[in-house]
Amino acid sequence: MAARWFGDAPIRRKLRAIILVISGLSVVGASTVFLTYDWISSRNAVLRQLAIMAEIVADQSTAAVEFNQRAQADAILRSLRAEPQLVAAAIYTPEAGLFAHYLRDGERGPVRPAPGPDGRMFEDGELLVYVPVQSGGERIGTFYLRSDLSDLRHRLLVNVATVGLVLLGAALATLFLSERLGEVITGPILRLAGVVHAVSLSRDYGVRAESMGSDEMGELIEGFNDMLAQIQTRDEALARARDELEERVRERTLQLEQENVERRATEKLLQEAQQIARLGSWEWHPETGAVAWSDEVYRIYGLLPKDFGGRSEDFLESAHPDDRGLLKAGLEGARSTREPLALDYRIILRDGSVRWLRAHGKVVLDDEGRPLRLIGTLQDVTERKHSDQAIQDLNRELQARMSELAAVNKELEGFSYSVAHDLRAPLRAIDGFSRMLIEDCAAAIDANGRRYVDVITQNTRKMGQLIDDLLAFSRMGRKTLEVHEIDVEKVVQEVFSSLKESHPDRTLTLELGSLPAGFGDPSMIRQVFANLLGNSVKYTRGRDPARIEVGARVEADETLYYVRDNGVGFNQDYSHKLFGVFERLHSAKEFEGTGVGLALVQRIVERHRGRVWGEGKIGEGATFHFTLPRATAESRGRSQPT
Amino acid sequence: MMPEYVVKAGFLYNFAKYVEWPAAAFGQPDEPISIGVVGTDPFGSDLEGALANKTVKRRAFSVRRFRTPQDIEPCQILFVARSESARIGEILQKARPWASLTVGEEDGFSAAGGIINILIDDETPRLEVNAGEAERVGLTIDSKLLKLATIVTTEK
Repeated sequence: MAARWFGDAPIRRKLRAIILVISGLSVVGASTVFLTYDWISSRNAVLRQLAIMAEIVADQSTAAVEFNQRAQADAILRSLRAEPQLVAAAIYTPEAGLFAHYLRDGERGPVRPAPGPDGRMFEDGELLVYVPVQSGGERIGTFYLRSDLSDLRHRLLVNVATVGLVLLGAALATLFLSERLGEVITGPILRLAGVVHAVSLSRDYGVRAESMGSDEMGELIEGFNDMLAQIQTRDEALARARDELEERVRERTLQLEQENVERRATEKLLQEAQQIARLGSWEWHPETGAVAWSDEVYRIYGLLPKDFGGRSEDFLESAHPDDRGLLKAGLEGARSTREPLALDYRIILRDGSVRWLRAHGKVVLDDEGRPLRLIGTLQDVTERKHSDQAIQDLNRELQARMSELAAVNKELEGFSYSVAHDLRAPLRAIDGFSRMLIEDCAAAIDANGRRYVDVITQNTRKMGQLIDDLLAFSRMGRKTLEVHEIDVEKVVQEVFSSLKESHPDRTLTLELGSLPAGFGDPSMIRQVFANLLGNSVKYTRGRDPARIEVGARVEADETLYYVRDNGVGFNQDYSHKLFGVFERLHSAKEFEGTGVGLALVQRIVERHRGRVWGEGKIGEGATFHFTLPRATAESRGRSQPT
Repeated sequence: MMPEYVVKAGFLYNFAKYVEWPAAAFGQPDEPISIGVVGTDPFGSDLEGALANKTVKRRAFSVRRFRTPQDIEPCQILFVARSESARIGEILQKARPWASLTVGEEDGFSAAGGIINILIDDETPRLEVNAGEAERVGLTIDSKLLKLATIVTTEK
């Protein structure tokens, strides 16, 4: 209990208790030794003194004894009254026994009738002395003296009181000094303890204990401060780390939740997608031989999950016996080459029908680049297989027809070219001989004959024109397209000026809108405008002034040009005939022409991947539109064969 | 109670312890102390009995008896018996030069110039000492003895 109290007591109290106990013990020990020593030595001294006194009184009383003077002996003994500690005294002689005696006032005890042996002794807390009474070297009696210890007791009492006072004084001095000196030791400890308490209460590791000297306490405080500094540093680092960690955990949690939501959505989507696309997915781990199929794969196979073993062998055995080798080779090949897998194989359903499946796969590598697993898709492609076959058959047929057609076309073109070319020679002959007939045989031909020859000449020229147009048209099919950027506005103005020159009798006005640059073969585009403007000039005959309007509009991926006139126009119902070769909506009597111009325009525009069409109404003019694709990196500066 | 002369013989022996004689009183260092009894001897053999084998300061005792005062010779202690009461003056006169311790047993002995007188009152011995006379003859008497005794001066 005391020891627990002492364990829990503050250091100041412990120190004080230790000092008190030690100083108390030393004072008490010293005092005990001193008192014991003093008691023994004073007792011996008293005894010695008593013996001496006895000797003296015995010597004093020899005469009284020897001369039998009892009264005198009594008187001598009575003189012992001066010493109050003496209780009794007696003189014994051999003859008389008790010769004389003395008893202190108040003492009653009988005096022994006979003496004891010589010596000093303690008896019943009293000192007894027997000494011989001698005279002239002869023993004549015994002297007896008895003393109490009141002196000694008194002395002891004084001593004990003194010791007590010293003890008290020492204790007080010790208390006072321990309070003062203990401060030197406990002060720093208490201050340190205060700091420790404050730190443990506030968790503020920035606090420092006041440094004290360089003794053990100083070192302790310094060590404590160092420790605090380290704790503070770690605490801050920890707090930072914790904050960062919390932040990261929060971010990561959010991210995970987000990812979870997304993943669930994706899974659902995937499942739905598989169902919609009738596209299953599978996964193969070559190391373990495990195969996993998605629901859609089971549906494709017409199996339930319990019907499939989920091993590599089960996967291979699911294939048509003829295709097992193919599937095995495909899977193993993808695994070893790490190339994507793509193969079609057949399966036999339970009802015996054969289905075509298409497997796509991809090798997933682990961190060290080794094939970890194959993942892939599986799709029932039986119908597609069948339609593909049909399409292929059709295509082959088409291809054959096409090449047949191309050959015929080629032959036709060559034929028409050679026909046109070969027709020129006889035509030149007709023309030449007609002219010679007029010049050389003018006298032989009358006016009627001359008119006939003129008709022949005119028709010859017309036929020559027709042949030239046909040749130009057929050349258009072979000519290579030279695509450049074209200043359309400039082209239109040049074409218009040249038309104006060749029709000096006509009043022609040109209304030119904003014409963006176009891309195409410059000579061909010039031909287009020449034909369209030429038509306008032709069909506005009789109009004064003849108005021709050229404009353009930029659309998303093409530029639309148009040429409008206030000419005779045409019946919109026949607009589909406008661009046919030799097709004409007006008779040659009304308006001359070969019926090739617009066909040529269409041919050129279509070769430029553009469109062309006409709008008109009889008597209210006509508008011709054509488009050219917008300039693209692809079309620019690139030659395009037919 | 002891017989009177046994006591007195003891007293004579004891006196030797309390009295110092001048050096001239003895011829030799081991010369015995001589005790003379003058007059009718009252001791009988008691005196010899009391002194047998006794020594004081290495001196033994010798006893001499003188019938008449004329017979007396120098001795250290001279006991005057009661029979010589009438001749005390003469005896003291004769012994004075010898430095003898004169001891009597009659009233007036000390007053007459005797040095110690032994009186018995009610069977209790009482001593008288004539200190002046002792000093005069050259004897030193121990104060312890003087304290016991009644000091008497010589009556003229």
